[in-house]
Amino acid sequence: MSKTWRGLYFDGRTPTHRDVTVSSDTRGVRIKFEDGSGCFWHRVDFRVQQGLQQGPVHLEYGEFPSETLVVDDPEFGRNFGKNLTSRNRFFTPLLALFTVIIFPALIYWGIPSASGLFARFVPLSIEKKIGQYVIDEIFPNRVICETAAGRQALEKLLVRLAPADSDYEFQLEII
Amino acid sequence: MTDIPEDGKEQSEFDEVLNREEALNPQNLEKDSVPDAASSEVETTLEGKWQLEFNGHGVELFGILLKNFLLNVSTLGIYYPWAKARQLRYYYGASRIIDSDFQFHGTGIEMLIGLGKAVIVLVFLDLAYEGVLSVILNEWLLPLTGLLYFLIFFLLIMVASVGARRYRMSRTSWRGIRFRFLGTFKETVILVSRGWLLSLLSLGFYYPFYLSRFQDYWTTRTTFGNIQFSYDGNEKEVFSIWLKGILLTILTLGIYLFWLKANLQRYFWDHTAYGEARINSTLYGGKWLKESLILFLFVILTLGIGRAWAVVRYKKYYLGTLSLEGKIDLSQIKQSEAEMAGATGEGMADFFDVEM
Repeated sequence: MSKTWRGLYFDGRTPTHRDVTVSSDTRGVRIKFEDGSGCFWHRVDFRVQQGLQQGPVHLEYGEFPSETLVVDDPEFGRNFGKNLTSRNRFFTPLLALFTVIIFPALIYWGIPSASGLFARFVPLSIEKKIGQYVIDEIFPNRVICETAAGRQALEKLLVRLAPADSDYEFQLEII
Repeated sequence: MTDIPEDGKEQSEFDEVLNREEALNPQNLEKDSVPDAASSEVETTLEGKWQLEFNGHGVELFGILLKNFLLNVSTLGIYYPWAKARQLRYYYGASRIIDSDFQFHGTGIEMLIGLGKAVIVLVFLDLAYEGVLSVILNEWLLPLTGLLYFLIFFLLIMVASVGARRYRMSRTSWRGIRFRFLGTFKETVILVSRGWLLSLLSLGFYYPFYLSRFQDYWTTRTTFGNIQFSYDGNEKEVFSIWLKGILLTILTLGIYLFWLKANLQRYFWDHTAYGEARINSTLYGGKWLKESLILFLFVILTLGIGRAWAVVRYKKYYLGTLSLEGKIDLSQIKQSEAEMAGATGEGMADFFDVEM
């Protein structure tokens, strides 16, 4: 004989409750009222509404205004979880795995690789415009070294730094 | 108890529809039999004094906050609405009165939709101002558009406040019966704009009158089932609390502000009733200041890790200051027709940091 629990039944129309005896199996929950009548809630027809992990278990049956069954005994929650849990038992370990391994990997390798791939399709003219926009935004009132000697030294440095066969146009400025 | 007058007819129609639907619903044929409330002996009248309790645990809340944080980060914030729904479910589920806890029925998906709508509205308004108005209008007209921007901002805050309260109330239940907020955007805008304007013109002296009127409106438009909450506060009494509080706040260089806020909140709660049951508050400035400081310092000193424990402690204190005393006739309370408000206001409330 399966174990039973004491619970409270609310009909969803008034806040009055009725004391019930509850038992559960893999198909659903059987509710027995004090006058001997009862009903059976199939698993697919109700939802578990639980705020506290160690608190009462609320089961809601049907659409608004739904009937509610409240069982205070935390053991019902555990037994109920064993019998009727709909969430895949691999969900939590997978979530932990995702958070610890896959997420950092995504940040360090996934996103840079994806942006590298995406950047190949961006036209050079757009890249130039974006670069110029960023410079103007960061240094809107920049004073650039414009003396002939200074420019000559910078160009020398630029030749050494920038690759000769690059499609990009490099500029070196001292601000 | 005061029934909602305008909904009286709708309520009986709603009950009839319920009865008809139940009789016709094929699923109900599968159910053996559910005795009617009237056919078996059930508790109908409660009399006494009941303390509001918060039964949350720091460890449990920490688990929820940690999981929410990790999922928020790993989904680049998309998980936020689900995180909020889970958090609210926990807070409501841990709040209890008369041996029954509250329930929050909101879901992540409806909050996501609400947030999405709020983002679209805000982006559209920002683009309209930044991208169009500020470009096409002459410089001397810009202050006018600034004023328009402020007005729109004010209206959006009103939308957020009313919308969020409607949403929250329609998703909150106790013993299976939903709360509702019947206030409207139009009424709120009129009430708030008049209140602020008169407060400004009277150099602030009208403000306590406005506070009392706002509290009256906010409370009496809130229902549990088919019965409204009532408020019997007196504007002159609020004014005297406020005047004394303001003078002492000036004299104490702002320290008394906590006592002023506590005195006002206590007054508002003490003058709120549900049917024949009245709310009592024992919120006092000194203890409230102490608990708020503990909350603040605990979060800072533990670099946020201790937030769960600090919040649980604070909620235990704050809800513990409230109780309900009197008589409640449960048989008079009926489920009211639910107006399932959307979550757009809730989404906007997030942007404007409107606290519910």
